[in-house]
Parts: sequence; structure tokens; C-alpha cells
Amino acid sequence: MSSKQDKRFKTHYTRLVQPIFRFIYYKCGDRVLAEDIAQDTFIRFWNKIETVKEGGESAYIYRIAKNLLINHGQKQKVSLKFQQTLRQNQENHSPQFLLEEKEFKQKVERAISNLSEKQREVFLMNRIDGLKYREIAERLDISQKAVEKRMQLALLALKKIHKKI
Amino acid sequence: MEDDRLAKWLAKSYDAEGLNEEPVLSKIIESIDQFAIDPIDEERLFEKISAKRNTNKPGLLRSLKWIGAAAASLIMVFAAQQLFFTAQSTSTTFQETASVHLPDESVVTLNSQTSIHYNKSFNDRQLTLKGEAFFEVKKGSTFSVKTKHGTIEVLGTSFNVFSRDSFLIVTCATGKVQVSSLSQSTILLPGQQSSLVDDKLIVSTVPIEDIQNWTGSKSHFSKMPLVVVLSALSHHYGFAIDAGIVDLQSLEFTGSFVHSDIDKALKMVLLPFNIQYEINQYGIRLKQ
Repeated sequence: MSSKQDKRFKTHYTRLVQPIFRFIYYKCGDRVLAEDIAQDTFIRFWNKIETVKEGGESAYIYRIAKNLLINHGQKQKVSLKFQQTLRQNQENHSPQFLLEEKEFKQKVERAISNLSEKQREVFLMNRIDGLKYREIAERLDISQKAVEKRMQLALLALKKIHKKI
Repeated sequence: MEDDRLAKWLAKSYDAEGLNEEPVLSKIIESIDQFAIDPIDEERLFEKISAKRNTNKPGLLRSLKWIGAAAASLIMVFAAQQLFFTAQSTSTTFQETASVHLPDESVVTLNSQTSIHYNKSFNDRQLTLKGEAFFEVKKGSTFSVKTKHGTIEVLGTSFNVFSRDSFLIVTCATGKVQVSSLSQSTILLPGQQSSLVDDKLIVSTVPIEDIQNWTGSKSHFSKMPLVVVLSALSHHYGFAIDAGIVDLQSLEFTGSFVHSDIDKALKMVLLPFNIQYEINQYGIRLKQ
């Protein structure tokens, strides 16, 4: 293994380690498992790096991560939790307001957790990772049409929670 | 066909027209766009990956091994700098819990409105706690938890610490736990609980299954001073509780309160004592 390949590894590691961790988290809702799988994913990538085409690294790494999770073989209901970046000084709000905000957040979290795995990963890659549909399509090695279709279904599902709010 | 209309709308929803078109969805999306996921520790993971990968692949050329070792030690030096000089902290807000894996493989579960601070390297196995947390400590050298009213020292055990307002309540689930306040010190065995209330250190026994009592959908208490229970409740929901003229001294509570509904929770705690309450803009006020 040459140091050139090590350098190449480090570049892609730095670029993708957090997105891959989040990607697995979107799928399984388990931080510990997501970190383990991110670790194994990059070990495999490093061991095979010489066989990976330049430019095809993202799709390759996402594919390993996805397969490792499938091999791990857990398929239970997920429950995703998110940190909330504060939008303004919340101290000025009444307890009632804060409680309502919190409840709203929980409803949204539940709705996201209830999306199908495929809709959820695409939707969160778009909203949290800030990736464009085209970029998501490249990473997951699917068509942009497929990404749009999944986004559409995810948005329709989210729209429904309004009725319960 | 309109089967990707919303997807298309979202892709270019930055123009105002788009937002008007779907006001409800916009509100939901705006909220989601503030969501974040705590990142993982990239450098620590990188070290693990390097280590694992090297054990998987023996038999590299010797010279390359040296280059690898040099590179690894450079990374280590860099990582060590990062490790030793950065403080790490985690905190939770109302109605939120979090699980933190410390560098020594101990696990801390934080209850709502709680924070911990520690050195990133965690070589000293020392942390500062505000609030309530359950610790599962990996066996090893002394592990200490500092709080406002005292220090807890263990070698390898699990225990719960409640340090809010003027209270310090430590409960031992397994192993041995040493609790020291400014003036007193005691050693707890499994199932024992020490309460430092008004500068008095009292040891009592509790059912072991109640110790990590708040990680489910309810918090359980047995023979706990009511003031402590109210302090836990107020920190869980983020409401101030004003006792007003109600005398809470010497009242003890055995039971639980739910985590999802403040009204129900207040009833569960206050009804047995025949205490009334009202919720106003400042918080909760108790009435006889």
C-alpha cells in the first residue's frame, strides 16, 4: 500500500465519514451501530482502495455501508432523535410555548421515523446533509427520477401530520 | 402527471412563490431544517480503523511498515494535542435524555436538563456533572464525578447521581461507591442511597430496579423527600415550581410520574398530599 493510496483514503474518509455515519443512522436509528458500520465500511474501503475507480469512491463507500447494514440484519422499528439548533433566544418564550415546540418536534421526529427506509434516507440526505437530488442519485447509484419519487412520497407523508397537529 | 410535484417544489422552494404554495409543508420543512445529528469523533474512529486494519493485514514490507509507523505516530502526536487540550461537554434540554460513551468505554445516560464536562482524553477519568445521570463505569483506575455539593468516587460499578438545586442524591446499583461532601463521607453498597439534603447525609435502602428509574416513560421514587421529587419534575418539564405557602417539609413521596404529560405528572405527585396547583406564565404555583 503506497502512501499515495493512504492519502487518497484520508481525503475520502474526511469527506464522507460523517455523511456515512448519518446515512446509516437514518436507516437504523442506532448511533452505536451506525458508528460500528461506518468503521467497518472504511476498513473495507481502505483494504480495497486500489481496485476502486477514481471518481467512483462515493457510490462504492455508500454501497459497502448499505450492504454491511443488510448483513447485520436487524429490521425493527426505528426511532430517530435529532438535536435542534436554536433559532433565537428561547429564554423569552413562555413554558407553554416551549412545550408546544417540543411536542411539535416530537411529532415530526415520529413522522420521519415512520417513513419507509428508502424515503427516509433520501429525504434526510436532502434536508440534513443538504445534498441535491442529483448528488443523492450519484451516491446511492439510482436515477434522479427515483430520488424525486421518494422525496414526493416522503413529503406527502409529512404533510399528513398537519391534520394531527 | 403530477407525481413529483412536491419534490420539484421543494428543490426550488427558495423563491417566495413556492413557499406560499405549500404553507403547511413549509412550516414542517423549516422545523426539520433545524434538525442536526451529533457528529461522531472522526479522529478516534480513524485511529481505530488504522489499528484494526493493520492487525488484519500482516506481512507488509518492512520499509513501508516504518513509513506507516512514522505516519501513525505523527497522527498520534497530532491527535494527542487535540485530545489533551480540548474539553468536551454534552448537555440535554427539557424532556430529553442522551447516552454518552466516554473514551474509557464507560457509559453515562443523561436525564433531561443535565450537562457533563470532561477532558477529551479522559485519562484522569474525572468529570463534572450538573443534573442527573446514570453511570456504568468500566473497571479500572479511580473514576470520579464532581458535583456542586460533593464528589463521587468509584473503581468500576454502576450508580445514579441526582445533583440539582441543593440536593445530592447518589444511589449505588452494583459495586461500591464513595460519596464525599464537604464535611462528610460514606461508602454505599448495592441498593443503598445517600441523600444530602440541607447538609445532612442520610443513607437509606431502595429497590435496585428503581435506581435507573427515569430512563423509561416514568420516574419512580421510594420514600423520597417531596422537595426532591418536585425538583426532578420541574427540571424534566422545564417549569419553575413555586411552593408558595405550602409546607413541603417532612413529606415523603413513594410512586412515579409520567414523562409525557405535565398535568398528569403533577396530579400523580401532588394529589396524594391533597395539594392543588395552577399553571401560569411563570410556571407552576402550589396551593393548599
